[in-house]
Formats: sequence, C-alpha cells, structure tokens
Amino acid sequence: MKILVVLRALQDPAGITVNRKAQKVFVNRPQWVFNPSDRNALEAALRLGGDIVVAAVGGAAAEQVLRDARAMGAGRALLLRDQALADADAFGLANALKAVVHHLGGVDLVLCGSQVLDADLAQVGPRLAQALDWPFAANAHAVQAADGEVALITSRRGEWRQAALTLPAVVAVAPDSNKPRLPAGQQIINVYTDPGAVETLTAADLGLSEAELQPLTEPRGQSFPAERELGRRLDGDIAGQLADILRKA
Amino acid sequence: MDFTFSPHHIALRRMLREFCEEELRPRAKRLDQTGQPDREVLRQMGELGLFGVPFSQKYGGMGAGETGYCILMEELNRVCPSTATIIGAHIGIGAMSLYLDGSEALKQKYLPAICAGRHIAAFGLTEPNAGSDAAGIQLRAVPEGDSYYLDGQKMWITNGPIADVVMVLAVTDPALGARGGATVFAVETKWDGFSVGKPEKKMGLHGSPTSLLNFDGVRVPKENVVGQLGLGFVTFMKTLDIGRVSLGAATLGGAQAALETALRWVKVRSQFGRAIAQLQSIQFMLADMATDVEALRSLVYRTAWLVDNGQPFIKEAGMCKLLGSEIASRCIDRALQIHGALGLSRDFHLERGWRDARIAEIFEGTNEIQRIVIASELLQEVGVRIRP
Amino acid sequence: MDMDALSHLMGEDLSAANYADIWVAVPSAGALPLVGEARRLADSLGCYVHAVVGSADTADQAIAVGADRVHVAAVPGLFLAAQTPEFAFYPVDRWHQAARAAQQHKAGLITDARSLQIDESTRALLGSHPVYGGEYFVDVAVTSPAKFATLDPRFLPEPYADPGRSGEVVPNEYVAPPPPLQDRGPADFAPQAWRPLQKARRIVAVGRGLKDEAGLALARQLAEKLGAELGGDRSAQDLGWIGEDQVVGVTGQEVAPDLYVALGIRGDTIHNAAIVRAKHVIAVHANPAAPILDVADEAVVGEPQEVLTQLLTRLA
Repeated sequence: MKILVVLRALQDPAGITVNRKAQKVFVNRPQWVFNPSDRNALEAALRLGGDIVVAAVGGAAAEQVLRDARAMGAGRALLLRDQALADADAFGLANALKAVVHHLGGVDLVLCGSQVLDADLAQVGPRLAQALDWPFAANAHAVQAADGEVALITSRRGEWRQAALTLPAVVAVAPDSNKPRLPAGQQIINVYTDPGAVETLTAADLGLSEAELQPLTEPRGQSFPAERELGRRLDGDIAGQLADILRKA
Repeated sequence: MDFTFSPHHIALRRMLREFCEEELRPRAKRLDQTGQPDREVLRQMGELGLFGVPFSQKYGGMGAGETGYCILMEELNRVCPSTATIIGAHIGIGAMSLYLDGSEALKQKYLPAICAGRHIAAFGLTEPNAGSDAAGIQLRAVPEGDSYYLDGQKMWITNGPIADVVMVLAVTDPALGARGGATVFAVETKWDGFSVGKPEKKMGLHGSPTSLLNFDGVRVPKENVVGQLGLGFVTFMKTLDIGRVSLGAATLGGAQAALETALRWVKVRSQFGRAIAQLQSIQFMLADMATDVEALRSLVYRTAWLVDNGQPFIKEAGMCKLLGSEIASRCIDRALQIHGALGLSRDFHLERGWRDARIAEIFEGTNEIQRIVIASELLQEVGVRIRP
Repeated sequence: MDMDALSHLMGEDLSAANYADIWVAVPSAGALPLVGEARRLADSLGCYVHAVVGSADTADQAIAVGADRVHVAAVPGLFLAAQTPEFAFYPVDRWHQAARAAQQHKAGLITDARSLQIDESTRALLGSHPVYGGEYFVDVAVTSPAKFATLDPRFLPEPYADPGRSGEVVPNEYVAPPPPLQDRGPADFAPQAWRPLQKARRIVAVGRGLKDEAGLALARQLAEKLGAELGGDRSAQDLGWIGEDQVVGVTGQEVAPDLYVALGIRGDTIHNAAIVRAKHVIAVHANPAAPILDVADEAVVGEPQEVLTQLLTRLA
C-alpha cells in the first residue's frame, strides 16, 4: 500500500505568549514542532505499513519535520520548496499536493491531520480530495485498510460509527487519536547526517502552473480577543449565564 | 568558533526532552518512593537506543558521540536522577571500559546486548577498604588453566542488583600492586559464585539500585580479560576520566531543573503584595543560579567537543565533575530556599532533587580526588610531577 | 469536478458575472443563525439570500429569519455546491463540504469565520479565523469571484424571526449522489484516555467546598456533560474523592486546559500556580474572599452544590 502523509510544521504553542493588551504575539522560545494531528496521521500511516511518503511545503521548519518523520520510519520525504508555494493559500496547496500524488504515482491513501493549529489550512485535506476526485473523511480514529477500502471510526451526531471509504481516498485523522511513536536515536542520527534523506521539489518540478497556485485570499493581519478580565463576579441569572458560557466554550 | 549544536544533536535532544517529560516525569516520584526500577520505562528506553548512545553503530550503539551522551545525561537527570544514574553507570563507566580497551571479540560479544538494553552493565572498582585509595583493592583473581578465579567483594556498586555483566578490577599480581598487578575482567552475573547483597538504603537516588557484589570463586574465562593483563588500572582510570564529562552533564541537568522550577515559582508566589520575583533577594539568587548553570553548560559541552575531536580532556573532565557537582548542589539548595516550606514537602520534587544531588560530590572520584587530578594535569603543564 | 466540467454540465458559462447572491447551507435548524447573518450582510449589498434546507419543515423558519428563496435538498451542502453563489456560508460542522465546494469553484474559504464583513467596494469577504485554539485570530480577505465561509452558530446572535416576512420555496429536481462515506453501523468505541490530566482540554476540578458525596456526584455529572476530565485540589485527595494523579497543583499536575471549572476549591498558591496556563477559568465558591475567585474569568459566589444543580438543569 502506498500512503502519502501531508505534514505541516509550526511554532511550538508552548513557546508563544499572546499579549492581548499590546496586541502582539511574542515567541519566547523559537522551536518548530509537527502540527499535532499531522503527527497522529503519520503514526496512523506507520501502523498501516507499506510505502510511506511524507510531504511538506516550506523551508527549514518543514525540512525538520520531514527528517523527524523519516526517523520515525517514513520511507521517503519530499520538501516542496518554492516562493510560489510559500505564497499559496489552501487552494494552491491542494493543487500542489495533487501534483505530488500524480508525481508519485500509485498512491492509495492520503493522510493528514484534521486540524491545523496556526493557519486556516485544515481545509487543504478536503480540497485535495476534490482536486483528485477522491472521497474524503474527517476526524477519523482507528484507521485501517483492507480489500480496497479504508475503514475508520468517526463521530456522527454524538455517536461513534464505523465507516469506510473506497480507495483511493483522503482521510483526515482526529487529533489525539493515537500515541505517536518517538523516533529511535540511531534513526535520528542517521537521517540528520544524511543530506539525501529529504528530496526537494519546486513548483516547476511538479509542473504546476501559476493559475493553480494563485492566492484566492489575502492575509490582513492579526486580531486579538478582548483582554481577560479576571475576577469578574457574576450575578443575576447565574445558572443561565454559566450555561451560555459553557455552551460556547 | 561555532557554538551551535549539530542538527542531529538538536534533534536528539528534542526527542529526549519529549521522552523525559512524557514517560519519565510521571514515574519519577514513584521510583523514588518504591525503589523499584520501572521495567516498562527501561524497555522503552532500550527501543529508543538510549542504552548505547555514545557507542559506534557498528556495535549497535547510537553513534551520537560524547556530545550526544552528555545531552542524554543532561536531559535524563533534569527529570529523574535515579534513572539517569542507572544509565550513567551502565554506559558511562560499565560498558565504557569494555568499549575503550576490550578486544574486538569481547566487544562483539557483549556490546550489542548492552546497547540494546537487554543486558545491564556495571563498574566494579570500589571495595569496603578501597574508595579514593583505589590502589588498595583486594579482590583477587587467581589464574588456573584457561580461567581466573575471582574472590572478594565490591561495594557501593551502582546497578549491582540488576546488572548482567560487571567490569571488575581484580588483583592478578599482589607483588606489583597498582602498576602492573591489576586486571579488568568482564564478569557475567549469572556465573556460579557471584551474588549480590541487599540493595543499599541511601539518602537519595532511591530508584537506582546499589549493592555489594560477592565473588566466591567465580570462574572467568581468560578471553574475558578487558584490555591487557596487569594494566587494569590504566583501563579503569581512562574510563573514570571520560565518565566525568557526562557526569558533569548530569549535574547540569539537575541545576537546570532547579533553575526552571525556581523561575516558575517566583512568578506565581506573592508575598508582601507582589510576586516574589520582584524582590531583590530573590533576583540575586536567580542571577547566581543562572550564571552557574551557564558556566557549567559551556564547560561541559566544550569538554565533550574535546573528547569527540580527539583532543586531551583529562583536566577539563575533572573540572566538569568538580564544578558540576558543587554547582548542582548549590543551585538545588537555592531553589529549595526560594520555595520556602514547600521546598521541604515530599509531595514536591525539589526535596528529592536535593537528596539525589549530594552523591555527585562523592562518587566517580570524590571532589578531593578531582582536585588532585586537575592539579596534577595543571602542574604537569609547567613541568612538575605530583608525588602521590 | 473542475470549472470547465461544471460549466459544461450546467450548460452555461460560469464566469465571475454569474456568481450572485448569498447562499446558506442549513442542514438542520441549528444552522438558522447563519441565515440571519446572511440577511444582515445582504441588506447592505442589496442581494438575495438563498437558504438550502434539509427538510421542508425548516423552510418557513428560514424565511422568517431572512431567506428570500428557499431550496429543499436532501444534502444541502452538495446542492449548494452545484450553484453559483457569490457568497456561500456553511455551518462549521460541514467544513469539508464547504472546502470541496470551494476548490470546485476556485474560491477562497475562511473556516470558523468570526467578525464577518463584506467590503462593499471590492466585494471581498473579510473574516477572522482563530489559531492556536483561539489565542488570537488571523484576518483574511477572500478575493475570488466566489467566496466561502464556515460559521459557528454558537458565536452568532440569535436571528430575529419575523413570521410576516415573505419568501419563496423554489422547487428543484436535484438528486444527491450516494455518500462516499459508507456507514457500517455503530462502533463500540471510546477514545483512549492515555493522556494524563495535564493534557486534558477540559477539566472539572473539585474541592471540599462541595461538602459531600452528593456534591461530588453533581460535579461528575457536569464533567460528563462537558466531556471533561475530573481533577481536584489536595483537600479533595484527602477526602478520598480523587486519586494522586488527579491532584491539580504544583505538587501534583500542572494543567493547561481550554476550560477549567473549579467547584468548591478555595485556591491557594499551590493550586492556582498549576492553572496559570488554563485558557478559561470558571470558579464557584461560597466564600467571597476565596483566592480562586480572583484568578477566574467568571467567578460565582455561592454554594457550589446549589449552583451546580441549577446549572445542570439549564444545560440539559
């Protein structure tokens, strides 16, 4: 079975402080980590076994998670490094990954995480499925593959259900749906001292056109929630207010 | 000069940090309370290759060098000194003597299982009557045919109760004494005549089993001589020299943990209407702690660099151990003071750290011995030989 | 399916000029607030609001809250994808339908969009997307001819229902294709709780202010209702209500949940220092001077058992 796992790197949430008053994000401790549910996707792939290829778009951060993925057991790592790709939004990224799937040939299953912590990119999974005209499932637990199908467990209207998709398919894995393995030390040393452990591809290598990568959205900065007002005493219809707050939490 | 760690060492540290936080930290309190090694966590460590970090991949090791090993010891000791000590005795001095001076055949025989963590190693030097005066050992190895028969005792041996193979220094020629009269043997603990005493009850490192080793006519085949017959002291001194570097790294981990703990507390603890971080007395303590930690960090990793780059390192290694053990005790003590009564609570990890740190000034060569080693190297550089 | 194929299928040229109006997918009544939001935006733009509802029962409500045209389709999200919306809103739980449709229409999409606005001169869709669990937001403008967003009804105002408003139900012959995700029945499944308290996203924490086992039972009910882990302070451990691994405190577990509800916990430094990274703290305690109240986002002075009883009724 040939599986492509899409990985994203982001700044470690534990190293960030958000100052709502100053309306600024401070990075106290710069450190790249896997987007958490992508790590669950990689673990799910490793448990399925077969030919596992990992891909990520970006620069040094993406390269780091790709190397860690190789050290965890992925057989091949593709770094998509290109200014056009760096500027692309979810639409372009989906097209780029479609090109990767075609470039690899014979991909049965694409796995990715169901959430992306630092950007509006969880949508890349279903967009990719649309671009490939493959079925898609989100928030999957207990992913298994057999007989041309991928079986999974997912929650539907508060109930856990067994479900299946015909392969080839795109599946977004639920956060915390498994305990990702740690890479063994020997693998870390070997992968990090082997320059060939990660292959680099550009948009041109993948035959991507400008139209496929054009951004359809523009970033317009950051905004911040209101400052936390600690110690606010509730009065009046307390139960009602609490119920309201908890429903939104 | 490039002071950055190599990418593979950074990646290794990242993996170790996660392992220690996820797997070791939740178990550290229980390990200290029960004194039982946690087989599950040791198994996981074996799978990650943590039992052979500095050794060549040719023998099943990780191939991460002395720098990688120091990173391991720093990260482990930052969270669980008991576990770090098991590893330290296993890799740093036990297996290390075999790695430095063992024959190829002997290395191939024992190192793969040692590196996988299937066999635990220990270092058998100290005896009831021979501590700093290592030359005073009395364990006797009498040759007979193609074997040696070992009789005597070793004491205060870390990993004693759980070891599978012990590197033992025994007297092969009483007339020659330390110079030419002692030999290192690789002894399998399952052999007849070998037994261990009850685990010692210590102030700290409760999760690191230590005991007496009894040798009652243990037959050791002559192939199990490590290094050269009669030159056992040289092997063991070399082992202790290099062992000091990673021990310094371990003490760095302990000091680092104390600093981190103190920094977290001073933010949230308020007295006299403000966070105690605003009090100068606290700020001065923190500044001193941080300065000590930084100095030790530079010393340890520079010395690791010397080792990995084939440069002389004996003096610096002694400094790592001497400075590290004293800095760690000092930092942990300051952190305890900063926490006030909470520092003494057995529910909190500081008092355990305080108890666990004390040994560093004593084992693997007391700090007095370290001072002799450093002075000896120093004076040699100006042409003076110290007469012991 | 790409634009050319869709264009061919619909028998028309899908150029930018053909994208019109605000369309809303309403798979259930829970998504009606999206129609209200669409109405608000449509009024400034002067365009129609189309609601696609899953059953005819919802049609009248959709009109009352602002839809000009209502379409009934078994799978509203798929029906909507086959149209040419200038703006398309889906509820957040149909995010993958929205994303597929957006890719199909070469459209930008903001998921879990907050503070939605439309720029009247450029007709760009402006919104904010929460990142790092809502620590802050990235602001985005969608500039493609078709503009998609998913919205969380919980963060939208209750729409104003005017029974006198008129609108028409537009018949259609659309037949939804069979769902690719084949349901194979109920699963006997519980997600693994292998992560300790310190990784929990929601915690209900108990303290001796809950008074007795009855109070503890109420707290457990709340925890179950919220899908939260149970924790507590040291007094709760002393009372035998929680085990050592559930104690929140610097001598126990440091926690960083999205939601921390402290019931009957007085909140000394040892406890409070361990919840500094909790994103949202709610505390209930009978003593108005309890330190926990000053570190909570919402603080309630009252008997925890009483407050809990009333709260559980309201949450049911």
